[in-house]
Amino acid sequence: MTLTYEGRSHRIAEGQTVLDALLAAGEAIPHACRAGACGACVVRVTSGSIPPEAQAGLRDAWKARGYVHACQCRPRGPLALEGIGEGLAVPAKIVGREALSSSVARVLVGLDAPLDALAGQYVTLHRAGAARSFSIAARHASDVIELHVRRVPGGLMSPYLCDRAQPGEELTVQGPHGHCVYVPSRPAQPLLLVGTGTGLAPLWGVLHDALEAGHAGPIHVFHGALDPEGLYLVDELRSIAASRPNVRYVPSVLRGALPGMEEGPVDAVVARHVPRTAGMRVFVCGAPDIVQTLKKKLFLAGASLADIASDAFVPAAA
Amino acid sequence: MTTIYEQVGGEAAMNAAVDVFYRKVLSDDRIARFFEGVDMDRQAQKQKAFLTMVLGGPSAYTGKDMRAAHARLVQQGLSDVHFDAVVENLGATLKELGVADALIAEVAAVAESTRTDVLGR
Repeated sequence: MTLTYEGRSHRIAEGQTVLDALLAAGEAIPHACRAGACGACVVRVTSGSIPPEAQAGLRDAWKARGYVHACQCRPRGPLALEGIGEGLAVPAKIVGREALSSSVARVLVGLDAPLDALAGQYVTLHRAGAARSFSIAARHASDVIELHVRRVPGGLMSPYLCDRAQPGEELTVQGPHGHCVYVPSRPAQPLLLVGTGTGLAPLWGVLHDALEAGHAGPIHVFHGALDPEGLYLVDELRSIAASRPNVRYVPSVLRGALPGMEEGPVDAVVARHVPRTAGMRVFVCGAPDIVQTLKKKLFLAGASLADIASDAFVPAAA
Repeated sequence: MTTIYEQVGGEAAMNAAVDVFYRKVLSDDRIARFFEGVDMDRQAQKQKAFLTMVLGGPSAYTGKDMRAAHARLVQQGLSDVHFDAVVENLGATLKELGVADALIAEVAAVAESTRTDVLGR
């Protein structure tokens, strides 16, 4: 079968994804998760029949315009495609960065065009041919977003963001994606926020939006990591919990707990403190296997499926 | 004549029904293993479509879908005992939602009609 990208014709085998075919043909297509989650490899179909699964999870407006996840698109006939245009991706510049722990940095990115993104959602950064997704921990003013970036040694993006990024350096921000956002419709509803690693970033966004909106119900924040080094913003969260009577913060680690931390798998720690979740609004973010386990356990503990929002941080597949 | 789907509250009632039904299914040791590792949100959508169909609501569910969707599970040993367990959980769900016994029997009969497709016979 034939695949046309930006007017150039390439071969695509039966069952092969558009992403694989284009990469094999030497086209430079940004990509990251290869699971239809990050949006890095989104391209637009200009003619041909779109397999529905290639558009799963995309906004309706995008679907209508023919956007597809190249990594999920296995054409059943000839397709013509083009790279994503303006409007879905905005130019941006590094504003600043600071270390939050030995492995996590807070990175501020200034948007040069409006992007309708909320704290808790995630965006994909494109720079020098690489693309990686990060959650928005906060919006500072309307045009600066805060990301929490864990340094992955040898990674294509995180060492740059954590250690080398200088104010003014350019990159592109694409998005947003994800549904882990605070909705102020039920101010008395108990909130249960559970994250591992930089899964704290969207929860930090939800927590602050909830506090800013005057959320009156209890807010439980659980942050889990392998060891104390993996936790960050511990002092800040403790101080929020100390000054807000409805906020409880429980840091936990698998090993080497320091005073004030719990030890054990995060799902067991949550179950100890919050045995019943009925009626709660639940946010779960972090490593995919832990997210899946937590979703199931917190659902079985009573929370309604419609009240569970999650974000699995799918690792980049190179 | 109104359908049972309309009597229990239509589309709006289905989300609550899925919560009850899915929680029962996941907690049932006879069948829980078939749900290991599945995406819960997608699974809930399928269960909502299933509940809508057996209650007589608007449904595009076909026997072919049922057959294809369960083929992998049949290979993993899905059999009559498991099908019976799901029907049992369905009945318990409807009872919890306040559906009368006579109507539950009607729904069970509709569910029963999918047995050959689900089990790939």
